Amino acid sequence: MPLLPRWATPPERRTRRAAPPRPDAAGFSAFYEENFNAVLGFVTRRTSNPQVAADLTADIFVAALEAAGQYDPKRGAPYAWLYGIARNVLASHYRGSAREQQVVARLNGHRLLDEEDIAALEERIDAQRAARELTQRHSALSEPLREVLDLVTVDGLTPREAAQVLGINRATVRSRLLRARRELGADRPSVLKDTESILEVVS
Amino acid sequence: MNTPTGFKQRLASELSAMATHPAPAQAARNPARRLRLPFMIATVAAAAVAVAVVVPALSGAGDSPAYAVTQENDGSLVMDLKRGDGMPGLEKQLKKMGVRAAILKGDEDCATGIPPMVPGSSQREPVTYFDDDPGKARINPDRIRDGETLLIVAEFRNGEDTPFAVSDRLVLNVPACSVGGIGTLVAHP
Repeated sequence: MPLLPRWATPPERRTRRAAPPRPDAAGFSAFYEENFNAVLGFVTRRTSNPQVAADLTADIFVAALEAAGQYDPKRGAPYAWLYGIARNVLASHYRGSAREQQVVARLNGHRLLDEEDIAALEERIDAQRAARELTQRHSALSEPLREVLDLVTVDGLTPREAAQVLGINRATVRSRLLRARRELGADRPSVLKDTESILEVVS
Repeated sequence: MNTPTGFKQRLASELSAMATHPAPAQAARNPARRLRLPFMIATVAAAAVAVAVVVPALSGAGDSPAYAVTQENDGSLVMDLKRGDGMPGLEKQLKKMGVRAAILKGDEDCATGIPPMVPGSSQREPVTYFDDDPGKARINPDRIRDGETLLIVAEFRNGEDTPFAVSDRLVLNVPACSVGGIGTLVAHP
């Protein structure tokens, strides 16, 4: 049973555990190298604008750098910690953008782009179109259900990994996925068609 | 998967510099809170301001029940696609008014998918949309270069004749078909 719908671009899979984040330059550089593609994938599956993708990527890594000293391996794997930061950055981006528009960011990612980068991002964004559509189709769900569903169907995390990212237990993830399936199935049959194979994995 | 290698390297350098010379504690806020006006919203907001100050409709040429095009005194054009059968007329009218445009109906079964964008053109954003009307958009002709065509794709729900989403991108070759949602800005109600 495929984890993602046939037409969705599979996210990068982790072949090994990321190095723990460290606040020193060398330590963080290794962490950055291991996670750059995953973070870029996370943002390009959620925005279709190269400049916004660059800004979000930069913000996520700056947040990770600033929080690296507080990373506690007992509370989750590095990728779960980083996905948690990415989710917070993304949520703040959409929630606060209008009211904080005058605030100047310390590191505007889009100013680091050249034309070749933009072209590469555009191609990458095009390739992630199916995944973005999937997140848009989930928008009718409540936030707790949607965030679980998106981590599993869009980002390709296992229910166990999604539980770590969200700081909830696996039973709750399982229950939310089942509720999402029920809600999507009841109201939006076309969406169920796209997601049912994924949800069957955990039912 | 394409990697923006220049961006990756420059961001690595910035992060390395930040790690080597951390900001004072007061300035080291959570960057998630250091928000900026997102490019997408900025563009739409700028368009909204422009609507407020521009004297509208210097020229109302091209109006029909199915579409309308007006020229603003800042040189931009405001197009309004009201019905699917207005697409050919709208395309013709835009050409008459100096915009090389092609308008297609979104086709999810289009075998060629999304047509290739003119490399690097996404930052020019020749079209901005109005929040409350998915068929309405402002076109800035000066952001379209020679040899480029503004491809506009309108999407319709089953049985409906008014578009529910319109998107655009600059292309060098006009495709025979295109899927919807091709732009970096997409108008949805």
